[in-house]
Amino acid sequence: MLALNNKLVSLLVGGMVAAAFVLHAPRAWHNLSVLHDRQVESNERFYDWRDAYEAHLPVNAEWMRTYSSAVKDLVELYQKLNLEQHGLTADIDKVMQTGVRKVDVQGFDVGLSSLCVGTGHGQSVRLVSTSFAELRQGVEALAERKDIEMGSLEFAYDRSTSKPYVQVSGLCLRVRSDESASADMPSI
Amino acid sequence: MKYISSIQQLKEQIALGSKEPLLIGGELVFATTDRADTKIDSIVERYISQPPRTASRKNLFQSSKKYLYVALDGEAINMISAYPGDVMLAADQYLAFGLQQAASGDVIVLGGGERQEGGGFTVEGMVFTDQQLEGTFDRTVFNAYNLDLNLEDIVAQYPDHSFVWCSPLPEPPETDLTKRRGFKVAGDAPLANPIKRKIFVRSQNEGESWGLIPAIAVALCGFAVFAGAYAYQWQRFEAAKAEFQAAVKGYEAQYADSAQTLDLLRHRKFVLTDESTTSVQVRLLNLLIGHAASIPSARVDRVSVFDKDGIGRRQVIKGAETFLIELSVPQVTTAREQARSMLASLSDATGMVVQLIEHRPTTEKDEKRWAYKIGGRLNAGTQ
Repeated sequence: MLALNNKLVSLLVGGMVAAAFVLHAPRAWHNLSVLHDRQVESNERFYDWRDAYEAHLPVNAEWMRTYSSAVKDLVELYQKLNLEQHGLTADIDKVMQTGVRKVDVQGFDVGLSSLCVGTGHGQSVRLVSTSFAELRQGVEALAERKDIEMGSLEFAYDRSTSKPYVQVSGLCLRVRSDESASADMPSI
Repeated sequence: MKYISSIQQLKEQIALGSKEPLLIGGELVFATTDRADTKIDSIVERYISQPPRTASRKNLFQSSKKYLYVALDGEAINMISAYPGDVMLAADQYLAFGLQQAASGDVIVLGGGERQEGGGFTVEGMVFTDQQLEGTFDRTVFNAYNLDLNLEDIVAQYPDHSFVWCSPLPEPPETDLTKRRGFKVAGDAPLANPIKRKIFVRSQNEGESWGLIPAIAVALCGFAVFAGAYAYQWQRFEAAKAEFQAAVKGYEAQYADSAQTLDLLRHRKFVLTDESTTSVQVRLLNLLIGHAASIPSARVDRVSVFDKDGIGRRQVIKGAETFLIELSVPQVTTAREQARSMLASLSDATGMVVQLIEHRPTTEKDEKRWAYKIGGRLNAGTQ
């Protein structure tokens, strides 16, 4: 029979301490393994997000090209409307800003504002050109621009001036309103 | 170093006010390898037990290790502990030296010093067999012949052991013992490295060692298993975390609001690629203008296309929610009859519900004409 001496007692205590550590080792292994798995999942989520984000990044450059920054005054607003490039003119003395509103898409703020203009005909602007064909072409070109909004269109013939015109209601210029968001986006 | 073996010698040394190192032995020290001896009444009464000394070269896990049990004279112990100079025990010095010598073979260490009273010298012996202290003895020797006689039993019991004669014993006399093969004089070698141990004025536990080092080693092994498991998984976790931190570099601001960032890009892409309602209106406008212009002899006064919000519309004309055409044609038959074909062809062309809003007669350059207002709206199914 094993005699219980001091050394044996010490060894038993040491053994018990060792056993306690060894028995807790699987739990520590498991808990940290769970942490590791969660981190891996988090990494995968990030990679998925990054792939989608980088796929959409070219949008940012086109956004900056398409929409100009916020305008300071009416003169700059009219300049950016740039009707002349489409062969259209308006009575600049009568042009005034009629309103500004935030543009949202399906309730989402995309960082654009619409600056709307009108002349003496209320919220509409009368645009003229040298001919009816040029008038139509000019209106078509305006409609193609992503930074231009137009509401109702009325083509008619002004008998007093013998010139065709188009009365455009809701003529607005879309400008970037969220400069900080655009600045944060890395350019390509 | 001065050898002190009695109370009287100790008192005299202290009275001198000297700080000379002392080597305590003789009757002031009781040393034995048998723990039972320390329990003898006479020993307990006179001596104060000190902590046992390991008296073996064997490894930590060997169960049969030997110990040297040392006790100091109770009357001398306070004087010894108060002595201003260094105090060593002869038993400690000879034990350490003997264990050293025992590495190369069995040996008997003979130490001690001169006796102050009665002359002669005290021989303190330690027997080392198989690299551990086997036993102790002391003898009082007066002359050479007496030396052989006193150690005769030791020589007989350990015939193959070598003998080592140590200071502060005087020069060994010429005897049979000292002439033996294997007898050597160590001189001051055992005293070269003084062993200063704490002197306890109260009896210490004479029990055997607890063997803490092996027990701690076993506990540490268990901890090592735990730590290894923990460290391995922690390292994997840290590696995955480091991978994330390296990958997210440069995207921190965007990823902080990941859903919003991606949604913004997706909505902007939609804005850039989606066909605007204005384009649709302009296409309808072109269609209406072209259709109206193809009506023989028609003069188109106005073609209007309205957006669904009705911006700029003065009033909503029922039946002309989407478009309104004002034109005039020469009178041929009745207004309604002439309008019928126009309405039908417009409806076919636009796919909308087209109706005559108003008609009236008019005259232009003496020509009688019908002036029409034709309106159109989306079919109920396409609204």
